[in-house]
Amino acid sequence: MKRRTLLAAAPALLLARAARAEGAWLEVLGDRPAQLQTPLEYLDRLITPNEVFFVRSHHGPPRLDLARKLVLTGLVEKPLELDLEAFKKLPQTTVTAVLQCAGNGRALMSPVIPGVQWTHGAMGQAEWKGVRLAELLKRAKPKPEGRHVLLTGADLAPKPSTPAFLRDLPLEKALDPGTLIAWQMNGEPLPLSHGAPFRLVVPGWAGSYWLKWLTHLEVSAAEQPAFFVQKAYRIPREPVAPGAKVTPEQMVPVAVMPVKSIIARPASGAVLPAGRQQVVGVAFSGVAAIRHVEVSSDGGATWRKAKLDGKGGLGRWQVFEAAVDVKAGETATVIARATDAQGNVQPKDAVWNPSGYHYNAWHSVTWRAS
Amino acid sequence: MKRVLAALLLAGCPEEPELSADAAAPAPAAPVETADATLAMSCQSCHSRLLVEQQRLTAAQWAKVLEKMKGWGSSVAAERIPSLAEQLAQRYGPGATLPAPQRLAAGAAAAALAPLDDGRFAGGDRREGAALFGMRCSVCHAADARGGIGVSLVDRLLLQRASEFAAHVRTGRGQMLGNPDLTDAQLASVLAYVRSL
Repeated sequence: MKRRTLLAAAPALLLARAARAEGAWLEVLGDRPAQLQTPLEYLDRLITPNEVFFVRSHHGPPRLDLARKLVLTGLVEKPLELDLEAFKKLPQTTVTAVLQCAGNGRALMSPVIPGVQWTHGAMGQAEWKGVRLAELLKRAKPKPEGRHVLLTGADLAPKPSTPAFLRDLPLEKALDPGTLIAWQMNGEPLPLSHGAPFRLVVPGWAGSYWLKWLTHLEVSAAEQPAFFVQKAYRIPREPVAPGAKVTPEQMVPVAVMPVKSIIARPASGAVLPAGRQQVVGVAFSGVAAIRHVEVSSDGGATWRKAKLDGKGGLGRWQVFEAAVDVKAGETATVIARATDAQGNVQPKDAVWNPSGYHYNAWHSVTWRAS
Repeated sequence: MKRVLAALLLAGCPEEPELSADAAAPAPAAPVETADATLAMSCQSCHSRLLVEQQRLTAAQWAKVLEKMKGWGSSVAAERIPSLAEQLAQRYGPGATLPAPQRLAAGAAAAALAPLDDGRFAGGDRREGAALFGMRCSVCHAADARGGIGVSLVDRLLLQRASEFAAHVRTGRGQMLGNPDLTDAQLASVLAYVRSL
């Protein structure tokens, strides 16, 4: 391992060990297959340790098989087939990026929407290591009519009548230098729950594109004609009223994550010593780096900037911190609001949509000073 | 235990519980038990109950979910959907509070996915397994084990957790009846066969 790689991996490993020592835990929203949410208290740092990183899939993991091959076929001059050992010999790239489920925050939408009731913790940030998809495509040489990369994983639907979790990545995004096929997460081989041996990493885009247990990439002229592309993971192009009829033509894929921030601590409802408390959380945008995070202690009438830590980038979170003073006996409510470098401002209310995607409303915490 | 018994009874004779519920008429409890039995039979082969209990949907939303799941392979009967949707909306309706999530130790989450040693289910005979599978399993799981009434078994994580696999086959789950008479050697053979698919 090169010295630079080692240094980059070190903080994540240290944090992972720290989490273990604390008696780390996850919130269970489903246990068959596992739907596990990262508790807010772990969303206060640049890297989310693997063991508390949220877990979500439609059909559950397949058998652990590190010999599974990765195949690239379709409209290419030279199809590829690689096992993990061959894959490790290709040029390696490391990307730090937020993985967030498209439905994170669904439970906070009103009116209520069916689906896994995520609140805040269907997101995490990791350091992903692997090979740029552009690098594989360069070797395979897509034909000019190729427009999409159809994605297949090893996870099988429970019944023949259940749609398989097949997805689609537009070729343009597949060629983005940030898009990787990863085999490592935070310096460790991908755990089975996160896609071992291979998964996609698509910085800035919702988790539904980050296909796990990836086995097959097919370059195609047409978009994947599958349920989870054509029907699910779509959102109205313009906001619609709850209950309003939405035609398929009005729907577009849920892709770029809107600007968002979350307060990890203090925990809402806490009773804390009077005086100064640090309000800490994370902020990111799928459009651009974060420009600033502001906090308000007066319901949004006035705002002041928080301190930002970490490196900025598209789909990459930074940690923010702001000191708030509260007198004994008083109750504080603090709101956070992020703005990205394109000027997108986190909204007070999220845009309601029929499947509850992309929730990004202001987050606030309330605590009492004793 | 009560739920398991109800599910087993229902699996054997689907009409009976509704008839007996009418005859006994234990007014407030009956719909709850019926919904429980249906959830156990028709939903929990693919989902954990937690997924149902965290929803807060209107009867119309529940009906839509049930229709979708029926299309995806749930055994819920079409004619039961309206009444089931009403019952579910009463329990898990828009007024319900989002249940506090259960805590799971991170180590336990990882352990649940780790392959286990085959132990006393090692060294099965694939040919004997194929015969047993044909007699006991293929009616529901399909001859190729890719699912039908029951779920697909191909390439499943459960196949790397022999003792759990054996426990499921012996005791059943949801609408699946158990096979308590199978010996360890027979279960090892079924496992060896399913792994080969």
